[in-house]
Amino acid sequence: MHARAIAISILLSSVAVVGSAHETSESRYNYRTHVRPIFVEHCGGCHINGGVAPMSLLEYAEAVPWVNAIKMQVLERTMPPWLPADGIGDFRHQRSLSAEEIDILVDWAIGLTPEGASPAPEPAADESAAGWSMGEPDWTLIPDEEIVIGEDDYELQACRVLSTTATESSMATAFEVRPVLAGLLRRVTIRLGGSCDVGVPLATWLPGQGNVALAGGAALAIPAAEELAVSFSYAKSWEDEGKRLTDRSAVGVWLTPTANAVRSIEITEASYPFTEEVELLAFFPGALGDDEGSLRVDMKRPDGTTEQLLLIEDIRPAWIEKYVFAEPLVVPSGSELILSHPAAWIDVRPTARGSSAGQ
Amino acid sequence: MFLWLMMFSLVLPAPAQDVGREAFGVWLCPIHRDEQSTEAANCPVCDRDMVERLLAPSYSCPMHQHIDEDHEGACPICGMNLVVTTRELQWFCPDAPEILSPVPGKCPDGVDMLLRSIPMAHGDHNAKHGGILFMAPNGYHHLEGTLDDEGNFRLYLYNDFTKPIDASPFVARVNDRGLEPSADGEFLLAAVGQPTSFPAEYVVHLSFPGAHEEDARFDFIFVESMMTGAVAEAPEDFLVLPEFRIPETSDGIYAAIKDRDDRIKQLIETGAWPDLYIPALEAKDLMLALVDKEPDIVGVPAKKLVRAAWLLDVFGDMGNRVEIERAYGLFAESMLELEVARAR
Ligand code: HEC
Ligand SMILES: [Zn+2]
Ligand SMILES: [Zn+2]
Repeated sequence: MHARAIAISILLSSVAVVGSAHETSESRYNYRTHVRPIFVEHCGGCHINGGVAPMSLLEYAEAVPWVNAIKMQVLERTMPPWLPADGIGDFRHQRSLSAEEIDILVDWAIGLTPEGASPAPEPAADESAAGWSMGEPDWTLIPDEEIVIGEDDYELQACRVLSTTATESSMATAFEVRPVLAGLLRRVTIRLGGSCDVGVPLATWLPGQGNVALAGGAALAIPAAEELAVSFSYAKSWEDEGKRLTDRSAVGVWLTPTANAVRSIEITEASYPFTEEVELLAFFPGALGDDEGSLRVDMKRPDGTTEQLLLIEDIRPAWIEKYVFAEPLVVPSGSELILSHPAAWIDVRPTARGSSAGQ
Repeated sequence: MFLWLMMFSLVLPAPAQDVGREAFGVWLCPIHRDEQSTEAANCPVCDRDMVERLLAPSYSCPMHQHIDEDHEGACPICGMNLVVTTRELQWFCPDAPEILSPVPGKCPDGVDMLLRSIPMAHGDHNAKHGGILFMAPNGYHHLEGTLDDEGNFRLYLYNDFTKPIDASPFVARVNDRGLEPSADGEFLLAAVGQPTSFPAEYVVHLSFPGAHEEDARFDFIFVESMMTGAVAEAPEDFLVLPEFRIPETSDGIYAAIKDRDDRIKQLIETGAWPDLYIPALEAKDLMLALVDKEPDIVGVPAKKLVRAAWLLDVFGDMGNRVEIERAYGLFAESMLELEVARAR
């Protein structure tokens, strides 16, 4: 493989001498061996039969008519949908392609999309038939009242308040959504309390994602008898236009008996000072419109150094989520968070040092 | 990666069978098509005989596409100089057209199969009227712009085989002036007047019939009037690149990437859009080789550089200056990030 790449490259330059005709010939990458595994890993959660995206990429015949769009979406970084800039912050549930994966997809798309003939792939499972990713959750919460997406609705956001019926306070480690209308459900935001607009944002869930959990086994406290406000966002594709559809997707919550609770802090100003050492676990951007430029979050340490934590250059509100750091980030006491937009929530956990100093 | 199949001809002997011209074969396993060989072989995976696909350069007339010669020369019909294109060679049975083969054989009725060459989509990117040829964003249409001595700007439309198509359903503007179809639909025309100086720039906005696609922009830069003239091109010595090898050391690779960056900048300045892909895709291949050596250091800037390089290729073929400059902006950013990452 490697030797071949070099041989080809040597040859490429000779063309330039001969003349600069720029013809297309068959890619050395093919669908079965090189391309489909990338689609399965990075696109298949959404681009599957019955999934939220307009087409499946898991069958050759279905993927090929889309090659021009695939090439451009991958090159413009609009697909897979993942807003944070590469190389700034390290997050869980990251949906992003490596340089080599980008190269394989584009080379194949431009190079006549050979199918290849390695053994036939297993049939793609239907997304909606999938079960929970970690076995049965401790709580399975289903809206009492079904959500109706009417004939004339194209996009719909519905809020449902789900009661937990727990008699004592609980510690939630993970959240997941099992969609019923998997083809329409674009995003779910779960908040503490009775309102979908205010209240601690516990988790966001996007299609193709398994469970959503903080790093290091951290847990979010849900007080006794508290409710969860769940916002469901739907968008219809042309296939469903004019149809009346109903949904009662389930929210699963996993609990842990022992964990030191995370504190969720609402930030309403352009900077936030830390008065004790903490671990920063997650960042949830406040409401953003798509004409608001870029979102930027930096941390200024007491020694004057600054670290970029998050940068979103092109805000596409439909794909904003709660950004969970891959590893808890230690924030020394005296640090300051600098935000381009003065609206956000953060999850922090005092470190051993921080909590003893604070007493 | 373009033209790589073709390039085997430069280093490998022509296949054994005599096709009367300089052809070259690529052998593929019928099942495992990523197993390739430059000579007849058995598939290393399943041991099946690999099958051959045969390609050949073909000298053809810009105006008479059925002309298919094995050497340079003039068109026997109109005397124009022939240009090089790529065709696929096939053996076929005159009485059983469904039987095709990349190697010679016998037909069911016992007669020898006959050889023919067939055009390939995108096998020909030569201008037909001495102008500048671009490919449209849809990957199907091609268009050529010419400027004559009287200051007439003409736009010719082609399909994916670079065959002329009726231009009249297309709506286009050149520097905000509308183009009108000629009576026979051969081209769209606007009298733009003689440019005051060369190089002269013409921006074309084209809408496709059916209007399912966005309008496309093409930047034509003429260094003199066409029909007799020349396409904007890189300086001669610029295209004669040193032989392209991936250097041994990381520092060597990095230096080679910087060299490609300089070439890209110069090509953009000259307006030689169609040549951009050469240094851009070389930079990308160098970058991927550097990722193999320093994955933790350059993995992130590499993503941006690979995207930018392919965007330069895509928009270079389409001749859209705005997009080319945006793609180069991305490329320059990745160069900066690369420098910072390697300095750490
Ligand atoms: C999290 C879900 C998700 C993932 C992962 C995802 N897509 Fe998509 N994709 C969508 C949705 C939803 C759309 C419909 C357009 C929209 O609303 O943004 C879409 C649209 C597209 C389109 C454009 C279709 C059009 O209308 O032109 C292409 C091409 C595409 N995706 C390719 C990919 C590729 C390639 C990958 C993986 C490398 C990928 N997508 C990963 C959800 C996803
Ligand atoms: Zn001729
Ligand atoms: Zn072409």
